[in-house]
Amino acid sequence: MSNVIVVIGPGSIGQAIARRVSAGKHVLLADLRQENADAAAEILSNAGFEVSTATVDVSSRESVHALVQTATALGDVTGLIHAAGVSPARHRRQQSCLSICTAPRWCSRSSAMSSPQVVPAS
Amino acid sequence: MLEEFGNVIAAGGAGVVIASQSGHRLGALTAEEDAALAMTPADDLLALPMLQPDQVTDSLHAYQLSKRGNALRVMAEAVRWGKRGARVNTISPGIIFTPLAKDELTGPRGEGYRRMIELCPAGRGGTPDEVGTVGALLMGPDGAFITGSDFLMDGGVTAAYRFGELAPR
Repeated sequence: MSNVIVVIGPGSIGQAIARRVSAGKHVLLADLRQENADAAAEILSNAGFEVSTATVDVSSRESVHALVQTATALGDVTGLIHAAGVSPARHRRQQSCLSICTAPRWCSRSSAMSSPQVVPAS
Repeated sequence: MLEEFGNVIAAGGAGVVIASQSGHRLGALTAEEDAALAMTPADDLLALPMLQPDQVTDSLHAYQLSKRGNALRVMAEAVRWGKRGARVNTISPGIIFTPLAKDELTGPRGEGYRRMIELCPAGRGGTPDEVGTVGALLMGPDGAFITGSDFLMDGGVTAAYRFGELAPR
C-alpha cells in the first residue's frame, strides 16, 4: 500500500503544494470536472509523480464520501490538499460549495460552470 | 470534506485548506457567531440566522463569510484530526497569479485588485510556488507543532487595508 496525497481542485496552487510533498507517494487528483483532473495528471505525471484522477462535487456528501473510498483503496491517506476555490467574480455566476455557502440563495448552479476550480467545503 | 477525510487520515498525516485573504477583510464576528460557524454540523449551517439572505449583503460579503467560516471550521476540525495524530491548517492567500487571479484582474473589480498590488507592502502579487512552500512547511515534519492555524499570505494587503494606504476612507 502506498501513501496517498489527495488534491481537491488541482489548479496551480494545489499542484504547487503537491509537488513539494508527494515524491514517492501516490497523488489522487480530484476535480469537479474530469478534464481539469486529467490536465493536472498529465503535468504531474510528466514531472515524475504517480497519479490517478477522480471527479468530486464538494457540495455533495455522497460524492466526497466516494472520493474518500477511492483514496483509501489506493493506500494510507497521509495528506489532503484542499485547494478548490472560486473568486468572488466567478462566485456570482457559479454555485458556491463551501459548506456554509451551499445554498442556491447566494448563487445558483449554472451551466456556465467553466471554472477549473470549485469552492472549498469543509 | 474535512469531516470525511478526518475519519480516515493516517497518523502523522496532515491537511491544508486554501481559503483567502478575503476572510481577513471581514470585521470581527461575535464569539457566538464564531462558534456557530466553527461547530454547526455542515448540513445545518445554512439554517444559521447569520447566514440568511437579509443578513448577507452581497456576493463579496458571502465570500468573506465563507472564507472566515473555512478557517474557523479547520480550527475546530484540528481537534478531531489531533485524536488521530494528524494536523490540519488553513492558508489564506492574497492575490496569487493563477488563471483565477487573471480573471479577477480583468473582471469588474480588476482596478481595485491592481491597486491592492501596487499599494501593498510587498508591492507585487504572489506566485503559486510561494504558497507551495508554506503548504510544504505545514504538511511536513517541520510543521509538526502547527495545527488548527490560519496563515495569511497576502503580501501585506490586509495590513495596508487595516492600517495603511489601502484603508477604506
